[in-house]
Amino acid sequence: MMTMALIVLAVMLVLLLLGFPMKVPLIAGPLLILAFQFQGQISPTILIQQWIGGISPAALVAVPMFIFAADVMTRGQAANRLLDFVLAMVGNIRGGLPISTAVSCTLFGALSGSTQATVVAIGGPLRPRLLAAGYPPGFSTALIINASDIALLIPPSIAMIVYGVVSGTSIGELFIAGVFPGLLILLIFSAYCFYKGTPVQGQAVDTSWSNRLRAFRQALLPLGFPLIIMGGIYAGIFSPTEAAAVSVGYALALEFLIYREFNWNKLYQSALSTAVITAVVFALVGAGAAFSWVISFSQLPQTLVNDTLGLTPQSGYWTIMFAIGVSYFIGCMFVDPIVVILILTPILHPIAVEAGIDPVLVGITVTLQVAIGSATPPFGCDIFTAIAIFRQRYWDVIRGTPPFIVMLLLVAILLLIFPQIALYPRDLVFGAPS
Amino acid sequence: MSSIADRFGIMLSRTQEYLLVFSILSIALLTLANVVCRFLLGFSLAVTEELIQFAMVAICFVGIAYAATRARHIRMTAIYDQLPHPLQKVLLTTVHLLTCFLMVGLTFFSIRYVYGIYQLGGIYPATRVPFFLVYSIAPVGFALASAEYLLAFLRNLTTSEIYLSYSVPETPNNSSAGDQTSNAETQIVEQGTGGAL
Repeated sequence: MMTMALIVLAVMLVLLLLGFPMKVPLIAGPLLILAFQFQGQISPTILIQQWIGGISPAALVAVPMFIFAADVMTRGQAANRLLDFVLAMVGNIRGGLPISTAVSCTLFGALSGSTQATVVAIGGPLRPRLLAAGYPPGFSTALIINASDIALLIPPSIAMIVYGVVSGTSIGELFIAGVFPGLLILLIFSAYCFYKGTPVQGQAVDTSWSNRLRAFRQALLPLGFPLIIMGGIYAGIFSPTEAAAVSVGYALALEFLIYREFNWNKLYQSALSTAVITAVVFALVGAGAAFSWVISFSQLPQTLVNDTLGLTPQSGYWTIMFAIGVSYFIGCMFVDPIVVILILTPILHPIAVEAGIDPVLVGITVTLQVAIGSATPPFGCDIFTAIAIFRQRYWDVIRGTPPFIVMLLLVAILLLIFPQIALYPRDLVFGAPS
Repeated sequence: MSSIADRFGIMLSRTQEYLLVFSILSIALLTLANVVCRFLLGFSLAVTEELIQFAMVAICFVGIAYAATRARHIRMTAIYDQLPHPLQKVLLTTVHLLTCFLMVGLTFFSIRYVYGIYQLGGIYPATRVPFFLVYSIAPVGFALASAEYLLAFLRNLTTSEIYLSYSVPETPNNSSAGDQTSNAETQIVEQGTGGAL
């Protein structure tokens, strides 16, 4: 059985490394298991059934809707207005530009649920300015891809939605618990940027109070966006899916009716782009669900986790959380976070819950780890986004990442020592679980 | 390839585009309508929830085909990027062929699955649409994706350049997260969000 598992894993890894579309190893793996371990006793149609089942949960509707809202605001004016506002506020202090980058990533994270969209929306306009101000390319790129991790923790978050759906954890609670860990990362990054910061060079940013007031007025309506999502969920007015729909409505109303530079063509492009990204995500969700079903049916995870690793609910808080943290982190160094969440969650989540660990804390730890993993060499997916957008070589992109990864791991450890960072706001709103 | 095939290909990908855009806009409108309805009437409509479900299934499977046409599926190119041109071409051609085989397999599995559902019967309670009708999108999507990977394979066999898909040639800019858009601004946005998260 273990040899079987190793062969399947090896085949999947080779397919992945050879550059097959990521869904191919995910389908090839279960097909191999069905063919060899069960020798055709189970019809492969089960894969299709699980695939359709995987994309059917109603909560997943929030995924395309949050992508759509963020896309509309990036194509329109809202995202740029936020950027101007942040620059006007902190652009001129020591380390102001990198701090602005981190703050903008956080704010944009409140519009968007994805790290890669954040790399594009914030990194695109701010990287040239960082370089012009004399910051080394390695530092600038690493800052952008790592600060984009914050976007995954600040709601909305696609990783949290998928995690919530797979594990049955409340998505609303996850959303609220992610805010403080996200802000903590921002704080630590900002301190580091202040320390690394140089006095302002090149073109200075206009930070007069009149300009700040102007920028604030300009950004007022986009700033209402997080208020609607968080406020709506906090107050119990919306479910996360409804908040997603409302944010689309808000984004369209803002761009169409108030800023009036949006047109039907942009709407078409925006919807198309959303559909393609959603389809790519759903291909992974569907194939991942099929994969997950087959391996749990073959009882591979139980063998691996219980017998080989010896991880049981009695292992204790630290061992379990450490095992969870490390496995998601390593997984994301190689494949997309969605895939990692789909495969590992059914294996590890029940152990943690049985051990009495708060599922929301597990969810936030997982989200944080997948965020860190996707900006970590060798193959974190944010690195490849940065290569594509900034036209940089692989080595130049990863050169500056180590200090950021250390800081992020520090936050991960802090979160484990002080789970209240994540859980306190949740307890405040939803009440502590008895 | 003949111009008729090209024209047919363009028509096909346009149809997929319209379907995808229509599905996204419908989901947005229907979920919004549902929120409004729940506020005013205190309950949400089962019909809209089922319609949203149909749109989600459509996006998933039409999207698999469309993403193949536009070479938008996530691939890991760390090793691929290091290879010299001829090896890249050999590798990508093989990837296309094997992916095509896999898609053909999935097409057959999904036809068998949908046929099984058809025999079992069963309809969505609110819209009274039979299950098998909605699920039929799966084999259609997989079949279109198979055709696309086959075409990409053939094009790479018959040309000296590298094609990421039948209609998307590889350029220095799109090797990692490929997409071909005429508008440079949207290209940046789309390349970046080509990944899932």
